[in-house]
Amino acid sequence: MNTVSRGTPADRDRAVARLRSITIGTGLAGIAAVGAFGAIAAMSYDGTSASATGITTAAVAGGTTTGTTTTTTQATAAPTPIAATPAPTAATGTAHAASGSS
Amino acid sequence: MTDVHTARQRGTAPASADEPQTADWRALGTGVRLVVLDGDLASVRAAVVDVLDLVDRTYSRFRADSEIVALNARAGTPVAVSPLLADAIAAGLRAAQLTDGAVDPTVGRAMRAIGYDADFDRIRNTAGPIELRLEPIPGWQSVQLSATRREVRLRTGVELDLGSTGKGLASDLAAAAALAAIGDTPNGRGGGVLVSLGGDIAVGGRAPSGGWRILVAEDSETPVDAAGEVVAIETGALATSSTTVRRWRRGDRTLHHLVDPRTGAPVESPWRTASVVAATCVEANTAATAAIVMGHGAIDWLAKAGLPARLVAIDGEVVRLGGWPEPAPAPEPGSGPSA
Repeated sequence: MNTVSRGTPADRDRAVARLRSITIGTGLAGIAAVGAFGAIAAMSYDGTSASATGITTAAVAGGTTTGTTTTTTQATAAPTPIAATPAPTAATGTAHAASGSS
Repeated sequence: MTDVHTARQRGTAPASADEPQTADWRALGTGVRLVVLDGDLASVRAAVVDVLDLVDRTYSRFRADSEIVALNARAGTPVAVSPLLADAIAAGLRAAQLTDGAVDPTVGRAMRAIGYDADFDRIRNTAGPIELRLEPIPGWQSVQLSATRREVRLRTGVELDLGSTGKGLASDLAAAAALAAIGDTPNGRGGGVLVSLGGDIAVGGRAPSGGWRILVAEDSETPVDAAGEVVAIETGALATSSTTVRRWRRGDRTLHHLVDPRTGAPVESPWRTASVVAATCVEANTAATAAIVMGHGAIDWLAKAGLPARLVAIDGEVVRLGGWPEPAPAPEPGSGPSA
């Protein structure tokens, strides 16, 4: 015949405290793991990172279908701005070259 | 075939240290002009040919064996790319960021949709009707580029077309290669080069007296001695974009090559032509193309960027910005400089 040992209120309090510490520890470990994984990912790939997902609708003119595509929004560094440039001067005579569209 | 000449061969000026030599030929489906000051034209031309050949093999959309065609075919997967293609894509993405998407490298499908699917010399001879299926382009955000790893991933369905920035970049690279090919000159003054690739002009090294004279036209095939506005630059680049050139018909539709990323259709702009001076040709081309796409908003954008520009409205009115000069008075007959 089995006997059941009934815990005391103090045992229950210790068990609850242990569960709380396990819960908190797991949460902290999860946060740390996310940070570490993110850092490793950032170091292993230096491309622009996908940070959010948006939905755009591509309407097809002249047709009957409307397609839905998913676009990726990226967080990127600001590009090097275009440097200000001295203006050209007016000139006369035969040109060395012609600028125009081709 | 190359047309090589000097001002003296054309009987317009005596030989001198400031007498440039010029070579003209075709590459990348457009006209190439090389002007060399104090250098061996043949060797400099060879250097430019090498650059343009590499550009053609790397990011021409019209060569079945080009690297960019292979990249477009593998959209959705990471692809290792050559240094040149990585640089060209980086330039395209930078242009998109700087212009808030007005110039965008993901217009490849849109270009094909409007019938620009082959070298332009072949496009003009095709006149069948076209059913336009237009949609906004995917946008530059759909391109992931790792510059250090030289790896690119395009979102599935995305096709790159580096036309807007690729030609300008090619001019910059060709000018740099040309200047390197000149090397040291016996007189110690150093040489100078001008490279025009379909009217996208980059200069390097020493400029001739008075600067490099450039006829500002709408069509890059305009003869250099034609009447028109001439400006001079000492350094940097000058590029022009226009909706008046590279037009074609499909049925009753007239199309052109400047796509509005918002619609995927040829842009409808208050400006028909934009010319911009910048430190590099890729920046000048970016700004010129963006100006047409941005429409009236281009005036503020160019002012903030500090770029001298000349915009031609649809009705022919000319707007000069950022210190772009008024045309010089026409010289007395026989008194002006010649190439």
